Amino acid sequence: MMNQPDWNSVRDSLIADDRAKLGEPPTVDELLAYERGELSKEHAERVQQLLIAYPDLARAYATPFPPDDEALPDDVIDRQWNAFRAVNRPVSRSNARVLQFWRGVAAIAAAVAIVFGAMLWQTHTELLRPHVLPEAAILTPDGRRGLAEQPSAVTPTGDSVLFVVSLIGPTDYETYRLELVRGDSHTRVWSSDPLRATSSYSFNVEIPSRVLPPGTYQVIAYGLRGNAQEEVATYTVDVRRRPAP
Amino acid sequence: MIVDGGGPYDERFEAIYRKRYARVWRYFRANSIADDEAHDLSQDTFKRLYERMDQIRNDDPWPFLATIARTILLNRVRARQTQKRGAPMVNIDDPDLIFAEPAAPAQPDYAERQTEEARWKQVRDAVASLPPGQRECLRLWIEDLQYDEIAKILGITIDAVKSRLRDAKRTLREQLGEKS
Repeated sequence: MMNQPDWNSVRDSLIADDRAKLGEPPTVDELLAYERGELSKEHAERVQQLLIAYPDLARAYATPFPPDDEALPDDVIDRQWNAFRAVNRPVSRSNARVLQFWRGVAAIAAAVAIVFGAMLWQTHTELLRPHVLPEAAILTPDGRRGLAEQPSAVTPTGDSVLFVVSLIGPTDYETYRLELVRGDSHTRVWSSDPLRATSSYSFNVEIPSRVLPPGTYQVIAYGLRGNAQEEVATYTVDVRRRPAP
Repeated sequence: MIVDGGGPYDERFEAIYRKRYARVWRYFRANSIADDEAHDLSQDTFKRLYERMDQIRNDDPWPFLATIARTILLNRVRARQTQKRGAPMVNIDDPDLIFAEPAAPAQPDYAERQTEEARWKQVRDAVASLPPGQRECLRLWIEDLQYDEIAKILGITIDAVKSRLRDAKRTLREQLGEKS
């Protein structure tokens, strides 16, 4: 007569044989595919044999969900809910978006800072190196160039042009201001901050050649006293086309 | 990272949690998982649901939640089976099981063991000789699985399970000459 321990022994023996023959239990993906009928006939048969060889897995696979008719006490649910919230402390979705936005901005800012830093370093290094100033064009105020009164002429040959603006006449202003305007349209190309007069009563103005297309320009010197300013002198300059290389 | 929208989004999740927690927990308990671990697995289930709330368009997230719970359970059971292949499963977390464990029986003498092993071999051979369909049903029935569970595993109807089991038992009785 077979009793329960006998059946258990037979059962354990059968399971051990099956496992030795079949190997590892099926994966969860295999089980779900088996359930959906997505496996080939041979594969499905193998999964079936493995389920018999791994009865705990077979039980888990087949156990239905209990009916939704029995609640846990409220205090148990409250305790579990509070534990859930404590462990998985939420980050506001909107905050998360803001966080991501600022992370992006920070990354861009860091990249820009690196680029500008490199440029600054390059410029700084460049400035520390001696360099030769462009040929100077010494400007004489209009009406002071004699009978011919030809405007000063300059032909840019390098990256910049140096204007030497000499003050002739009243020199008792507190400060001066210079403006560069186009002679034809009188549009302002450049304007300086207030400048204190030098001992030679002249100002050296280095102007990038690219802002000086060929044409006639005027440098206007203003004398500043308090809030008032007065035109002191104008200097007409004829910028000529750069010769072809 | 858990992301929470606050407001209706958060309230919706909490409502789902409170409504479904008991069912998820009882599902794990129904699979012989100890109380504390069943709570841990339930929390894992809801955490995964929370992380995927954006994907849930359906008003009723239960199918999605049930799939998560099932996947977690199968992974857990499979991992244990892989770790302890061939070893009998004893849940050491369950104090009732430990205290209820019977004392080890007295070892039978050599002659009794020989008789036992001969009987076991006879039964093994009898089971092995069954047609595959009957053998598979019997093997799962020995594991205390219900008819509907056996039917699901083998992909057959409950009536087919009953029929095959009836035939298998009759064959075994005839071969072993006893009422099992």
